[in-house]
Amino acid sequence: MGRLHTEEMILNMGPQHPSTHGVLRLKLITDGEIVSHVEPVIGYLHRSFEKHAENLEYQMVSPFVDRADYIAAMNNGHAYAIAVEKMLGIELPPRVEYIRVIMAEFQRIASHLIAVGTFGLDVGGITPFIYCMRERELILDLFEMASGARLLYNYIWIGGLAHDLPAGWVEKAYEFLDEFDFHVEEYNRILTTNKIFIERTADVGVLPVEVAINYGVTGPNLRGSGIPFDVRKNQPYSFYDRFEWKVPVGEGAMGSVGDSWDRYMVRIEEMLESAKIIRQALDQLPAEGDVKAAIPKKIRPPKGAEIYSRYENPRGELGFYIRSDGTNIPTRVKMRSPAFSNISALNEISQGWMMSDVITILGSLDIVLGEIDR
Amino acid sequence: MLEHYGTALALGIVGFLLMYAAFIIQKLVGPKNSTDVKLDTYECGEEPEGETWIQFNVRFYVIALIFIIFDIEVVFLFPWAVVFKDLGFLTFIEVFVFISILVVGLAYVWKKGDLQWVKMKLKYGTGRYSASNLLEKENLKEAA
Amino acid sequence: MIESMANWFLSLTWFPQMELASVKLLSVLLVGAGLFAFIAVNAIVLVYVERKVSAFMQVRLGPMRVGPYGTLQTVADALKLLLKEDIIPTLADSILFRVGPFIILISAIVAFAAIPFSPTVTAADMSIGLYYIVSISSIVVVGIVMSGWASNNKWSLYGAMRSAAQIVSYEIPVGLTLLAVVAMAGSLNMNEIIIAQGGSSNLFHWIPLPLPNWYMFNNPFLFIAFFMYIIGATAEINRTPFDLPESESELVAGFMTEYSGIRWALFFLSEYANFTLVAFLTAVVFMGGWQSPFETIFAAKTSLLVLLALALAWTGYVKTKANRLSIYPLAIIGLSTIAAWLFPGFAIWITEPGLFWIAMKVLSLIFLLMWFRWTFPRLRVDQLMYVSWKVLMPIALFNLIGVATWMWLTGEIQF
Repeated sequence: MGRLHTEEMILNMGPQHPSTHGVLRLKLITDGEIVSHVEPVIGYLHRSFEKHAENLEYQMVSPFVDRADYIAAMNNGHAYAIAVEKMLGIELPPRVEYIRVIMAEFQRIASHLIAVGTFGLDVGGITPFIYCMRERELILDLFEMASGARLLYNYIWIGGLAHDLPAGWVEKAYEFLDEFDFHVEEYNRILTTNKIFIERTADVGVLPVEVAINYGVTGPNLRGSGIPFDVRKNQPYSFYDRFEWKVPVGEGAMGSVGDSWDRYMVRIEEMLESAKIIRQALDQLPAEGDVKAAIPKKIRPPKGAEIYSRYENPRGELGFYIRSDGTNIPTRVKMRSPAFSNISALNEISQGWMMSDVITILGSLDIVLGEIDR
Repeated sequence: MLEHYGTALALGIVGFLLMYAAFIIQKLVGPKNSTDVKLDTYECGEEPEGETWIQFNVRFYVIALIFIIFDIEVVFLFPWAVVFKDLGFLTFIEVFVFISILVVGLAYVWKKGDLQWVKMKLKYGTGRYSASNLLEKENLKEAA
Repeated sequence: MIESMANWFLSLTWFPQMELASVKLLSVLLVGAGLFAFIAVNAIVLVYVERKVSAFMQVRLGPMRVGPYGTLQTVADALKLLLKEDIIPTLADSILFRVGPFIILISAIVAFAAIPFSPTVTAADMSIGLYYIVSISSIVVVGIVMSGWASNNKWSLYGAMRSAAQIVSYEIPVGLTLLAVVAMAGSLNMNEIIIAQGGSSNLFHWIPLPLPNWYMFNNPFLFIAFFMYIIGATAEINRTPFDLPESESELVAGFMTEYSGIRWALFFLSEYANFTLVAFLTAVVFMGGWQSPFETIFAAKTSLLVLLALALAWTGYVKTKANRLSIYPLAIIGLSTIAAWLFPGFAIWITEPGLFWIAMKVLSLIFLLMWFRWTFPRLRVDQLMYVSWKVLMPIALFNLIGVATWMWLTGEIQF
């Protein structure tokens, strides 16, 4: 009886699908509920950022960078600014570095809130998502106070910041931090420790360490597999070596190391770590100081200068490779997008799971299509 | 007695007619400008690939059979439940035996693994149903 | 009810002289129309309630714009659905596509005929009421599979297949839990089941409990059965955490992916009709139906006043405005109770207190199921099967034997 002939079905999941986190198309080959092959088809949001960058001045590129990973615009701007500053060898005032760290970590919290919330949506819980968005709003309020925008800030410029922090910002930031731990506890109560949620995510989509390394998976996904790799710790940039914090890794508390639950939990813990960093940075923030370093109006790195700079984005290692030909327009800007590498592991880890599990795994990888397609 | 079912029938007919009236209203006032694309099958914004009406792997055949057995059991038990109070202990024993036989059946099906939603092995991947994973578990079991 | 209604018609002076049979037919049609109106209005109200409940659980306001506090929002939505274009995909099986929603809807509403709203307000007081409801409401699966298959859409097919497996599997534990109650009551008539739950609770006939003698408190086995029934019923009506057939984040909209406009409204209507039906069935079978929970302690009128006092105390206790709003319906009922003391026959829940009590029970159960929906994630299909066959099934069989043994021990059946 078990030899009954069945046919495989080709199923297009996306681009118009509630759970593909944007315009991703997954071509599934399924046998009943079980998925035997997953092929991510990308490019629906391609805006040829890298080609654009070859025709624009260095400063003009930075708004484009924001639009790549629109969930973590502040981090992307920061990464690009660091790369160009390294090429130029600029030393920044300490106040700038502190504010950048604060902004970057706030953005990391906001991004992880979306990741956690939408992961909840993917497994069917709607309320956690709204709770997460509630706290994200507060962070966006802070960003709006500082930069005037709520999604794409263009706040971190090459050689400094767009503006100084407005009056009362620091107090509001402290206010947010004071309440944040309580809110994380709320997410833990409604989602993390929910029996159904654990059943749905524990042991699902285990990402073995070798696979993760072979595909170049970074960020919370790699840490979920138990590797404590974080660019902020391993190759500290900015002022990250001045703070005390730890790199949370997946421990397989509910299932095996590297399952979807671990990846989710790493994000929850990282939010708390980020909050710790922000608190320390706010404490150490110099009261007065310039927010712009003295840089030339036209940035002209020396001819032939090239750099690859690494940065820890909420989604993993964000790299910028920039080459200069001595003019104020870069010859090449290459972005190593973390989500692109992360999603390439999807097929490997979701074969042989059910369709619902593929959604869970995709949600736990936390991709942003703007960054994958660029 | 019959009027009870008459009421149910009337309810069904009234419901059907009123909903049908809604369809007629829709026909009268609703827009009618359909295009080929609009009437195409939805597949997340892509052209549908392959057939939908295939030999779909429902993995449900055995469960459907078990369902029929147990559903009939429930149907048989309803009359017993109604008269249970009047007939007393003897029927209790009888039903105990009846249910026990079915419990044995359930236990057998359980043991055979037919209650599993999926009773197959995939040759690919690392998932719950992939051959390597299942094999590993079997090996573990044997080792234990 | 038909009988008394026909007699009432004939007693009216202006009513034309007719055969009793044709008056009965008229009454039957009127009752049918009234029940359908109840189901339709109930669905519209419940959609609004669900949106408001979810909003309060999610720190939002919910619909606020159409009408005061957004009360007309669902009316507007229903009108919008009515005016939408009717789309039947070219590749779909046109006939099955049309028939499917009607089967679902009719199976949902026809079951309402046997629901006892109060001792006198029971459209069809069938001798096999419970069995009738269980059997009619399981026709739903035919409609779901029909519309899912006919859509010729892969998501719909998945939804239909999941639904077939799910509804069919959960029917057995649900049936077995209901069997336990039937064995206790010794009847399938809904009103008789309710009457059997009168009086106060006695453990082994000599330990009095401060609880009404509802079946859920009657004995430990039925207490378990109550929760099993709630779980099974949630699965039968495809609500979260068992909403796999339409699971939004996986199957887009499951078996109703291809439906839009008024056809989709049929699904919506039947979903809420089924939802209410399950709440009614739970209230009748496990929670004493239209009986007052305090009937052994207070008279019907007094208990309403006690409830009013509790409501006012609660209003004073809670801090937020949203929580206070939820008390208005109770306050209105309480105030009209006072009015009814002064002017007897003023409020229908004084002359028919059963209506009030069953409404209270049903609303609490509906709130419970909504609460489930807005807090739980969704199960996976194999876990769903696991819960049904390997958890609920054995417990249900064990429970049935347990109830029978209990009846023997407490002396309800003799040798």
